[in-house]
Amino acid sequence: MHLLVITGFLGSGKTTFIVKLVKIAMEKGLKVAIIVNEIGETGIDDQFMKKLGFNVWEILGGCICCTLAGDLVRTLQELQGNYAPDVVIVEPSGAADPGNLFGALGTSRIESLTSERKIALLDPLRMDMLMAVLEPLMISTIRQADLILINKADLASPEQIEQTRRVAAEANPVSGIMVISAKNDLEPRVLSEILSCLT
Amino acid sequence: MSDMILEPFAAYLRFAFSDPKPIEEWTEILKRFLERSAMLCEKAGPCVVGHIKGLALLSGDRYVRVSVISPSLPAQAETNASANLAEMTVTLNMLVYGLSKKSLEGIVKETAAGPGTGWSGRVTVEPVEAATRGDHAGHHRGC
Repeated sequence: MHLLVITGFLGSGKTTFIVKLVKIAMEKGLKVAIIVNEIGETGIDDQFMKKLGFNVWEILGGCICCTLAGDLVRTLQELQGNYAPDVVIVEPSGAADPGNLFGALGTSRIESLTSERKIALLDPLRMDMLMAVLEPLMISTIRQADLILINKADLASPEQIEQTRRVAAEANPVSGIMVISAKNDLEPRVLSEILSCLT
Repeated sequence: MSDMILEPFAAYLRFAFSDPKPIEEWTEILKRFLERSAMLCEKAGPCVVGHIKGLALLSGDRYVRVSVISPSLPAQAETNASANLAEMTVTLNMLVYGLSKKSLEGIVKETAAGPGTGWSGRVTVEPVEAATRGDHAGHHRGC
């Protein structure tokens, strides 16, 4: 069972990206499960993905980066036993700190995991503002990722993309950085990079 | 910023017009609704709009999805529907740092009352009860 965790601040395009990715994975014959953790009194993303016919599990009543970290581990274990997906995609709330989340996952024993990929989506339209008011969360998101995707290439200016790339490269000089537009078709080289761990 | 509260507010918005409207008009109405709400958030006090998003589930596999991430950026909408509709129920979720749930409810109700949005229909706001999904008020202060 491969695990893909898609992180990113609120509104960075995680759901749009996941929808695109799941369609492609399903076309390749992979059995995909999605775990969504959304804060708020109603889930929008899980309802949307269910409407598309995806296999979605919700984790409710809090945040999987802290109070519900145990629920995530239990859900992963149950999924393996009851559904046996090839790939599990986790969408944490955009308010979650990935550092806390991966800390909890790292200390748990999920023996069925064959690979784990941490992908962070960044929003270049708001990078300046978010770095000004939420720098610790943004830096944690970037540092925890093994692949960084600068999203919204269709809406952002070249300067915004470049500035986001600079921030990402400075905070995490090791991981790959790619520019995408999740709303549009993902380029083959981006897909190949993302899906490389699944084959 | 780390001290700013995050109290999500969720509601069902029930839009009703006397005549059916094409889906393109619906998406514009919903975008204006969210943009107006984001603007009112900014006017209400120091805050950061994280994500204000809405989803209408229509018959079959049809939907309308709309969201705004900043008062200074246009809302985005996506739909696969094509029918003309006179009514629509939209589930709204507001994730705004710095404003209380009560403030957000007031903002949504003010937006629904119509001034500045230019629509001629009726919108009722029904807050989603916290009990249905657990209460997250203030949760992200220390996350």
